[in-house]
Amino acid sequence: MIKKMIMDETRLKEVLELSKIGLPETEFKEVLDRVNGVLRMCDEMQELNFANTRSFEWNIKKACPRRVDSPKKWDKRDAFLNQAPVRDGDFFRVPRIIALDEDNELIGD
Amino acid sequence: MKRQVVIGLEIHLQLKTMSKLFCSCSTDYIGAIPNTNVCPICLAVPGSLPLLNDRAVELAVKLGLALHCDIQDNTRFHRKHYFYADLPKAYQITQFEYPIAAGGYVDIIVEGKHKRVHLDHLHLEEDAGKLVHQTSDGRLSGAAHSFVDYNRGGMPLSEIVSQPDINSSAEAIAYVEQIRQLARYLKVSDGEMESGSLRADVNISLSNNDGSLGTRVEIKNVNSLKSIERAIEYEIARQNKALDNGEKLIQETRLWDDATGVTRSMRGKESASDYRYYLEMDLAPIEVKPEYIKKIYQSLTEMPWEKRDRFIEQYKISLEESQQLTEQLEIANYFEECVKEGASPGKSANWIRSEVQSILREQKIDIINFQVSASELGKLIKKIDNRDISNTQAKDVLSAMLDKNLTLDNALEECGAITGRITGEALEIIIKKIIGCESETAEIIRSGQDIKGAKIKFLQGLVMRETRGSADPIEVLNILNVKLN
Repeated sequence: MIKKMIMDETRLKEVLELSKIGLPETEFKEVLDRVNGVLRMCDEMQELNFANTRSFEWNIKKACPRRVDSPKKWDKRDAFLNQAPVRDGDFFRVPRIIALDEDNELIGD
Repeated sequence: MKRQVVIGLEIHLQLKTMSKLFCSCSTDYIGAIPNTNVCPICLAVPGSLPLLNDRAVELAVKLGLALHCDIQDNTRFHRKHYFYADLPKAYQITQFEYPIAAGGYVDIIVEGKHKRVHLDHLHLEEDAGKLVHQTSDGRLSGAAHSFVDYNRGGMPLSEIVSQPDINSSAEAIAYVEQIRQLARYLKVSDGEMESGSLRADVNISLSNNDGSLGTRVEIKNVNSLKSIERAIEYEIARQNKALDNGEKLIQETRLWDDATGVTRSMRGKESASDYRYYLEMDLAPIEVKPEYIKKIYQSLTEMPWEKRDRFIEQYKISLEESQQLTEQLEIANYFEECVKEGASPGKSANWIRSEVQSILREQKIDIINFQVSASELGKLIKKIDNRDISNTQAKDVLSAMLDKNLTLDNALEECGAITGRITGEALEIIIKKIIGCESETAEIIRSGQDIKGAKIKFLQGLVMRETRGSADPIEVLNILNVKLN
């Protein structure tokens, strides 16, 4: 028995928090309807029988190619910095996403 | 009530490669101008494809073998999704279900007791970029913007995940030190916590009344061994207090604040499903065949714990001495070269642990930059062993070698130690002179009032000072005894 996937308001809030999206509660219903529509489609696809179908993923015969550990300089960084929404000297400037009390530099995962 | 502390550690080691994990950008990013070690791959330009660094795989396998892991063939990379500015792709390429090394263990010694910490696995992953938060007036707090530097983005990391076998801050530190030492011995990583080439996340919980595991809290931002100790001690106290008060702990990620010495809630702990892992289809399975593993295994040199045990057995030194000497490979090699010159192992161990280490600390240098070669120090220590010169004289000679940049022979000459020890008739003349100057003390000894021997030792000290340590203290005492009794 395949468990049906469904997104409720609690789960939606969790996803919104993780993706740092500020969605007004008035739009929750519309978003939930649309997301659950996609999930229903996924549920229907789970009813398909793949018993004798080989997974594309494991059908790769070739091993991962590897390169020699040799550094190379790429000289077009300014072109990328110039295309950034906001360039600040040598940095990309972004809105501060999480406000912490600490003065510590944040560390990614 | 007494609750059992249960700790698991995740250690991120930056692998010592020349280029990043999936692109050819340089890994030499410390002090580099921001966003100079970047390219379309590590900036996640659409259409760019990752290409795996062979050396990173080799170093991960090497580390895995040294940690007694089972090296896995056909392992895969996954995409771990989170939306944050330090990650231009909005996902990190990491290993999830199929890590390159599984199982394994690390043996530690804490307060003389041996303990085995089992490992869950070791996997390869790329590092994120660095975010800098700064306001226009230079302060860090209250900033409206963040600045992103992708020089670190894509650096190769090896994450070593332990099982929750650790039960105290002392064990956690011993575990981190053991892995750092191993990484340095194998030259797979600098293992510098200060520069971030070794980072640790601490998972800590207190056992429930029935012995089951309690709610786990992850602590991030512990950037030194001292921070690990303080953060663990703080968290144990915080969790105990909360449980004593009947509060319920929540599973969360907390950030260690070194300045105030507290952990603060950072975010609710995500589970694997929150990261929406799925296979990285741009990278095929990593092939690690038995011949490849065998070749790397054969390249492994003596492990630090093997060296530590061999030193105890071969040189008859204590565990503490051996631990200190084998802490760094270069120091262990220096010690063995000293001994090869004929110096006694015990004296060589003492000299390196005291004199040499003190000079290294003072000059803030590593042993490889120490001016005095192991061969010369060995010859100097051999002279002490042979009682050609005293310990004090040898220290003068070492100082002369360092201060005046002299060779051993020149320093011996400079310190007047080349002609050998003051002995026999020459020594008797000096002793006679000292007795003459200290006639009252000599009389006390002659009259048998120096019951504890303090007076004769005083005279012995004067003679040693007069001879600048070049007399044999036993010979001095013998002559004094003959002359005063």
